[in-house]
Amino acid sequence: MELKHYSLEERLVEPFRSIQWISLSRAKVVLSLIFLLVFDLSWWFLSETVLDFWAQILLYFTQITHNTWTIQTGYWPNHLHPLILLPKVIVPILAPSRAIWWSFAFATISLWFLTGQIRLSLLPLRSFTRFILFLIWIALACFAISPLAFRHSIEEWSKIYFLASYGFIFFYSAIWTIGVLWMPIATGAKIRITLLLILYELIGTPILFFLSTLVLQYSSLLLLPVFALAFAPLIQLGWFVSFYSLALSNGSVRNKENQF
Amino acid sequence: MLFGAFLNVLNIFLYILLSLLVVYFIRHFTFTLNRAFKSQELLYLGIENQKLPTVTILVPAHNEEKVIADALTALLKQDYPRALFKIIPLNDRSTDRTREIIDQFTAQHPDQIFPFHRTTGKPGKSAALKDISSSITSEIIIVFDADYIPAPKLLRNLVAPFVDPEVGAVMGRVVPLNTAKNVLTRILDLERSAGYQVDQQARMNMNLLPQYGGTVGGIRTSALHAVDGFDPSILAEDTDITVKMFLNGWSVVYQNSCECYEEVPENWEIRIKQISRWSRGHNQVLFKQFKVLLQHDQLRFMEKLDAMLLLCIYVMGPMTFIAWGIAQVVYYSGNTESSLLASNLIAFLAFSCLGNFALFFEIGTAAFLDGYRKRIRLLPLGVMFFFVSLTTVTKVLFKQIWEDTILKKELVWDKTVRFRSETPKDGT
Repeated sequence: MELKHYSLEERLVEPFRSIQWISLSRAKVVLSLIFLLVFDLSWWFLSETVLDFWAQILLYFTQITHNTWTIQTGYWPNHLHPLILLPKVIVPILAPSRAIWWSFAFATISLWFLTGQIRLSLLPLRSFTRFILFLIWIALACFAISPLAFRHSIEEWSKIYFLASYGFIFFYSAIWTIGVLWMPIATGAKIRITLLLILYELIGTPILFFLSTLVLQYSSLLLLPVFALAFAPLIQLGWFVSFYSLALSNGSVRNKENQF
Repeated sequence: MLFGAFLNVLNIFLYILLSLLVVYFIRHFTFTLNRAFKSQELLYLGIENQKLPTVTILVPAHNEEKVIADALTALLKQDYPRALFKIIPLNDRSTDRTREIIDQFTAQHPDQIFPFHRTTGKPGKSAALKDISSSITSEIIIVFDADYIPAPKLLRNLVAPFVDPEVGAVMGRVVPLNTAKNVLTRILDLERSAGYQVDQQARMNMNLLPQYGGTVGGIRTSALHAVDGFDPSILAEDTDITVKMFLNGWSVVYQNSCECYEEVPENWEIRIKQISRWSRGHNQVLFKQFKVLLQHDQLRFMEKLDAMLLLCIYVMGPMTFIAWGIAQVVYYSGNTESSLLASNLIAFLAFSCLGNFALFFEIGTAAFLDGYRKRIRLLPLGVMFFFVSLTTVTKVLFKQIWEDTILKKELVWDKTVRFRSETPKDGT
């Protein structure tokens, strides 16, 4: 068969020419930008204010400070096994002497096998648990290998953890603007669900932070990366997707022109 | 010193993976915007007075006693001149009543149905299609899986785009039939909706690369021969054909209005097998065609980019997994801020890839366009489905590397189990 032959100009210009830009009206684009700006700035301002407010409450109830945390929990892995002095023994060198490490190691290995017994109709639960175990094992490995692990102060971590929860406000609001505000959805529903989203960010996120800090205080810092890297962002996004789907389910017009 | 260098490498790798995820995010966000706000072009739908081509309908079947009769009955009711089409059920050594049912239909419609009972050769859909395709003389080949139930106008609509001599393949839309069965089928319905209503149609609108899906689709026979036909060693023969067509200058057209009904898996065991087969087949095509695609100098940049992203889609699952692990190691190295931001980004982008790698807003928009309302509220459940897909495709990739590269094991076709219970006694 004959192949199509494109000229150099076609190859250079065509990619840009072929992009069919979205036909949003200029007014909608300007309004979207204003919405994004106002929304982002106000959320950012609120998150800083709310952070201080909740931090005070958290500190009052838990009495957490860097020093008390370190002394009470004692989980800082800076005491490796004495066998570290014996050059030919490899495994014990890497094994921390703390019972908490071994408890977690055995508990997670057992949990891995136990999840295999979960019936297949609950497969998502098995996959999710094993994903979390995967993160805990990396934590255990890092905990064992590096005596410098967890060298951050709890206050520093808390602040970053909390701010990171607000770190994707731009993504949220971009999707919210394009996906909800300009869709043919009942105006009342748009307002209701936008308010609900803001309310969650102001109250739900601090509660999530508060609970995870409490869990960490009474369990082990080994769980810290699991909260920071998996639970917090997933729960945050889970709520966002819930609000998003709730908003879309309030559509009033079926856009037949666009369907086919 | 060495540890520091190692951490730097990890950091660089993490940001490369993140950049890739961002590219996918932008791609799918653009698709969603296109479908949500751009007015739709109705290409080929108005064509009515064209000279209709001759068509051969292939129905690959292996132990399909539960569904084959429905498919053949629906195909016989097609609004298409009898003299211009014939049906070839491809019975690949079935051990149930499939052969008997096909023979009953053949006895009643000897001028329309010409069965091909395979008893030797490599098993599997690609191999069966390869065997039969060399002897086909009609202008167009249409493939339907045995669980599909086409509407009477479907054939006519599917062949319409072939009036354009540059069109090599046409793909129709697949709609689940057993949606109301359980939560899994409902989520799969949403996922299919995103894949066709948004993803395929947006790619069609933007002159990119809609994918020929191996069923509810047609291929120009001359184009198929020109690209060396089906490859029996590839599990995803549809993706392979799509890329080969593309590389040889043929275009693939997606027809959103050509809806056809199928069964989606009703339990996790079957779903896992299905994802594993898709993922493995897709990766095979990736390993086979990526270099050729990269070196091809007659394709537009956007076309090439879209094709490469399409081929890499099932590798992104394992990459996401690895990125999550690296973010944690980076966290322990003391780079807390960067690690937390990276992990948030991974979570956002990965979580966006609900189910079979369709973004949540893509699914939401597709469901919205389809007129679903309450069903959209199931969207958050997708997070659990995402973890199943993520772990499955990761496992499949490592298994594939181990079996294909180290053990050189031959692939075995693993067909999807059917759930339908009604089996008509004969072909009436």
